Amino acid sequence: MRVSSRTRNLVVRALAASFDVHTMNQVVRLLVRDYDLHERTGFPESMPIPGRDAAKQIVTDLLEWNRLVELVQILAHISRAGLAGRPYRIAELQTLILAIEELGYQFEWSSCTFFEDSQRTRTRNWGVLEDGSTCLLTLLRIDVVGNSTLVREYPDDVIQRTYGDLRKMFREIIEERNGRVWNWEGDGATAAFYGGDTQLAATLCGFELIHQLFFYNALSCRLDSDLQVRCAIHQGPIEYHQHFERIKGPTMTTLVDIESRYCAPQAVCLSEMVYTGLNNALARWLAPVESHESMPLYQYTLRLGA
Amino acid sequence: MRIVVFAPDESTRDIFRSVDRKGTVTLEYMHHDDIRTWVKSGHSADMLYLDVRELPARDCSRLLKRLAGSGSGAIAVIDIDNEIDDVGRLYFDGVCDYLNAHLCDEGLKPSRVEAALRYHHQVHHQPEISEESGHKGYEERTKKTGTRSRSDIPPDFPSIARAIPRLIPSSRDWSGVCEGEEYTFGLLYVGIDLDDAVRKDTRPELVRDSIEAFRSAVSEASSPYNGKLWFWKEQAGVVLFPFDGVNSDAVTGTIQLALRGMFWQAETRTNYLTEQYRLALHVGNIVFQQGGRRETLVSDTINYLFHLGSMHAGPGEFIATEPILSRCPEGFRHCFVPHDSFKGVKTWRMRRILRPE
Repeated sequence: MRVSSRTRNLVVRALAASFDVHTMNQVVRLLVRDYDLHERTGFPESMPIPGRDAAKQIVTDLLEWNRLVELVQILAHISRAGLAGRPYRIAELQTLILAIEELGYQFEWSSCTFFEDSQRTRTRNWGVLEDGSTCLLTLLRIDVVGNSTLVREYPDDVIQRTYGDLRKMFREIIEERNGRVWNWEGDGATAAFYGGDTQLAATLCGFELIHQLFFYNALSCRLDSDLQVRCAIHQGPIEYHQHFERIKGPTMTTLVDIESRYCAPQAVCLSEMVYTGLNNALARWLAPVESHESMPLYQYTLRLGA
Repeated sequence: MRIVVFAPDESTRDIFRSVDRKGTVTLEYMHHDDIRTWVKSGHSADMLYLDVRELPARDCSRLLKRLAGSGSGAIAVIDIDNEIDDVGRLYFDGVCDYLNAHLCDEGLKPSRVEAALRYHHQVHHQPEISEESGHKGYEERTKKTGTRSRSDIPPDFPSIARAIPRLIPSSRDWSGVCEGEEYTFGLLYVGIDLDDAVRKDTRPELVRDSIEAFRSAVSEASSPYNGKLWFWKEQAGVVLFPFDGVNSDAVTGTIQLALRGMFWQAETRTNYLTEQYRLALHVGNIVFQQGGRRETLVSDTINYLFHLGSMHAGPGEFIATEPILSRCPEGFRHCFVPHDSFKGVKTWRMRRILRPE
């Protein structure tokens, strides 16, 4: 990341004005476990490090390790929640946040997290997830119902165009709510949501997909019957990797399980982890689903009555 | 008269040379591949000609049945190479005319087209279905179904476009609409069911802000369908959809509005005050005016629309009059059930969106 000298100096000033050297070291250790200012600056243990020199070293190191944005996130968090039970006022915090936003990020106060500004860039990891890091994500998976039959019954160009429509629709819906499409397998896809109210964002995306397919099937579908999908949503810890094939674990396994075993066609099926995070306005549209293991699930289908 | 020809190439144009010379006929040419999409989008015409060259017999029969079932217009077959062995069978599939190689060489006369249309109306006119038996059976069959099928469409659904008196079409979008001119529009009444929700201690600022947020949401949701929130008074307003004389996005746009409510609530764009709203869709003529002059507009059409919405549509309902609903895309016809008439105009109601019990 290229950072102007103005922004570097701003971070240095903020650190030096907000903390003593010992506390500065504690703050950095929240990011880098064994960080030692004496070792990094070369000052012997017996000699106190001037505050400004300590701050400069910290900023230089974190810039080199591409972790400056995380430092500002931590400062924002400390300004709200304190550190080790003690409140701190972070000097020039607002200016710091604005400076990072100018680099192409958006700051969300509720989670004290920076995300890439989706209007400018859109990367798989929102510009913040590190390869190998574990974080709480909400995942959404879809699968086309009866794909094998469709592929047999229709010419290849019809299938390609129809699935192309679905892919475009899916991507637009997901990215509209700051999700990221991590994988497209031809007849299915996986998307992820990070930061903010991911349970709501993912659920609304699922609802939106079902509704848009309702319109697509009524107006544009080339097939003789409706194009249908199953949509599953689950939340849990995920070890992030740039390559989707390396993203595994219990969260992913449960997601695939929900979609393949319990989700009805043209329905959105949520795990309890996701359901409990919803407001009542949305939760009342979901009905409990019988599942064979003790895994409560909830489902939405667009149904018209009399 | 509007004639649409589905053919594999443009060589059929010659057949229609006499018809094309008539100033009252609009001729359109499309490829076979476009039939499905054309029907699904709710298009219609007076006569549809299907050129059967390059169509296998099974596809030909399927397409004819699809066209006949959709009620998109009277159907005729063009058989330039005399490929069809069993011509009589075509009439079982809903066809009203057949042009063999000889007739194609001679060219189609306007009088032949008119005769075919007369025959179509004589033979394919549907008898009236009595209110009681038809509607009751339909309601039973479709209660709480999740899957659309042909049997979902009510037997007396207005699948042939109803004539609109004093039709003044513009365009399907706003490019053909000029201020100060009169046009036929799709007219949508949107009214918030506020009275039950407002309590004695509800702050007026909250009511005002809630209505403003609701208006913004309606405007945003109508825009992709060429709808424009044109007029608002207290807790109700009018969305205009331009109409080109054949098609409008009014029905599709209003169905979208009916479905958006749950999103608006989840995103807190609406609240308990603006949760419930009613929609009433009609078609009629107004003089299009922007800005403050709308406030002083006196219009029977707008009066009718407001009465339709405030008195005939129930809380949370979407009601449409038959003239506008006869332009409904085929794919949405199963979404509507018959409703009572209002001031002499038959109306239909969109089926309720079900919540879990």
